[in-house]
Amino acid sequence: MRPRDVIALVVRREMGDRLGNRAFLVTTAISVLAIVAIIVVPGLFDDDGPTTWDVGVLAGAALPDGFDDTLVTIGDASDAEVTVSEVDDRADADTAITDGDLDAVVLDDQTVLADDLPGGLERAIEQSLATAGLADALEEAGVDPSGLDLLDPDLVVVTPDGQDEQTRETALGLGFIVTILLFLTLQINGASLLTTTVEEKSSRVVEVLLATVRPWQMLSGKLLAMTLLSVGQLVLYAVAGLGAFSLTGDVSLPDGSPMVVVTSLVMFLLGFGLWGAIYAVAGSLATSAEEAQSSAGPIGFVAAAVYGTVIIGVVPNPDGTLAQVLSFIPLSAPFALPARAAAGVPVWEVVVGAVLTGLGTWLGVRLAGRLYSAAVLSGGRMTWRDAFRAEPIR
Amino acid sequence: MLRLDDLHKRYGEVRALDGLSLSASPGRILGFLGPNGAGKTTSMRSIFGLVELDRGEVRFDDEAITARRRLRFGYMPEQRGLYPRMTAERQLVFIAQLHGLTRATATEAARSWLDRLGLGDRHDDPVSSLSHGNQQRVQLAAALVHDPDLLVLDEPFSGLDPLGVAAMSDVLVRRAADGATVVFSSHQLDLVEDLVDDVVIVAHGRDRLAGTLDEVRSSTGTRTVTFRLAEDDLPDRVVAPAAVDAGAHDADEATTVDLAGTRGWPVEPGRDGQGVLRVDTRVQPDAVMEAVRRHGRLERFSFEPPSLSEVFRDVVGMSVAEVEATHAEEQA
Repeated sequence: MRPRDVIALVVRREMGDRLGNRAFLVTTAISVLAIVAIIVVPGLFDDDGPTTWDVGVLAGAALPDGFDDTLVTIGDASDAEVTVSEVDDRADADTAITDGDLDAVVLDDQTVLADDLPGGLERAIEQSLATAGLADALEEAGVDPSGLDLLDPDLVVVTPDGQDEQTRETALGLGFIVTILLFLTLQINGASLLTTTVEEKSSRVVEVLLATVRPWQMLSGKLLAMTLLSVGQLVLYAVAGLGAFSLTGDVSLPDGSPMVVVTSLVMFLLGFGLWGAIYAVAGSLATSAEEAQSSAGPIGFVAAAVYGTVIIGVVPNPDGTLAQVLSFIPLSAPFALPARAAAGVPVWEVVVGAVLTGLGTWLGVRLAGRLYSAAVLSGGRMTWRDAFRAEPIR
Repeated sequence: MLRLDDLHKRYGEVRALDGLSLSASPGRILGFLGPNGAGKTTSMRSIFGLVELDRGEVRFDDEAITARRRLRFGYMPEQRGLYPRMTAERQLVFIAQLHGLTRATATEAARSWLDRLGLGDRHDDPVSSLSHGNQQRVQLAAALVHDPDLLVLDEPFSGLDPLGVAAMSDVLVRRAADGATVVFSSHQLDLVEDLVDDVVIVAHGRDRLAGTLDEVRSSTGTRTVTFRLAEDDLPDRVVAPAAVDAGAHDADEATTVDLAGTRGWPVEPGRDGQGVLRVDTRVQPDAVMEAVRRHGRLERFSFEPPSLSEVFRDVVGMSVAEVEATHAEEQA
């Protein structure tokens, strides 16, 4: 039995145990549904489909050249789909309006026939008449209006720091959602590690296991299993999110999304082990679920502090000094980097953050192995201080 | 051959092991006997590397014990433990695989042990749903599922009903007959007398007496005589006739040693109105019987080596219960 065979067996058992656990499956399913809902539901409420305006033009009406095309273009600029059709005579026009087949019929360049003319349409028609008239006049005066961009000036709104406002808002939203998801994933799987470790100790099965398995192999197996499950959950969330976006169709995928997904997965793969190791040690100190809650108390406190700082300090200000510093600390980097990735983060910072986090996890797991081995075989309750002082079992 | 050599271990002020040694041979059952708190569990855990010893060494077949070697060991700890939500079979398969069995072999072994221990129809039940007795059986199966060369059981008989004790004894005897080295601990010395081939008596973290069962029992130099008279009154002492001297094994010694003494043997009251005498090994049974007969008509008479708990008292100077009581006081 090579150590990695032993670890593989432990990984398989842990994963089987979690995947057979109803609470784990339910929380995962709820998270997936929540993600889909966040993306799909606003679309359902916000618009009841694109606005469509059906406009008739009385045959032979005296209108500027190119009025029809101008109206379609202007309608398009205010997110309305305009169809222009010709109406043979006034009687037909009346019928079409009464029956609701048309929203408006343009009788001439002064009069519009309508029952309840939408404000937007009225402005669009006025603007089209004016623009098309202006173009006619220019042409008569010998100026080619096509070079003047009369129709679609394409205004872009920018923020003082030079970013596109729309992009910034989406990045902010994405940052929030990712931070919340990552912390949920950490909490759920950290709590799992806490529970399974204390269960092994309190049921005393650990004594049987450690008669053949070395404590570090046991701990590594547990951490690896939970890391894989966490990353698996994140992949599931990403797939659900992308699926929901493609489902809604008219909402485009935020720009930072691929980078967010990649950094989330990489950073969790490298960083979950550190958090997990701390949770596992907290479990090994306790002899019952209640005690485990209290020995995990300080971890919950630190996690909440990191969470709060990332939400308040990093998400709204992804380029600030605080954001940069948190990207290089192994405990906070797995949250800070994905949160920043939504708005764009320099690749070198991701690489340095990843390397430091991987290093932190490696050191953390080694130290945790010491504490775990001493605490889990002690039979009784231990404090963190006791565990540091106790004699480790290889 | 398992050898524990001069093991020392302190936990703060408490000296758990204070120079304990023992050896156990293949094909034989070693009873590791002594009061609670004598260091039995610490010694057994040291075999599995669950204790960092201060001094001393554990060897198997004259080699230091490696992780690879431990794959061929089986352990049933005093504090029983299994994954409560895992089924009996998956649990055993997992443990067998940890000992290096392939999945197929492990599954086969797990099923066969569950069948053998009468749990054939409970394969897929979570362990927590089994009765206490059945959980004990799964625990035993967990120690045996990989057919270990060395089987170490810590207080295997505690908490078992008489039927369970018989079933457990049967399994241990079979494993030893198959050539395994079997070591088990017990603080109920007399319960296991019929089972063990070899005995180590421990007290205060040290081995006090070791040998085959017969060697240990006859080591004290006394025999226990139990008798009952038809008349109710027990004499205070049984006075030996002068002829007892001549009845000793060794004729030369008999002339110089006063085996029974003219003062006679003091009688301790035993169960059911029986009287108990302790006599020198060299006194012949018929001489004692003759002496007892002078006090009345015999209804019952036995002449035996002392029980293991009597040996313990002789060697340690206190009974098992007394040692446990002082130990409990020290702890408090």
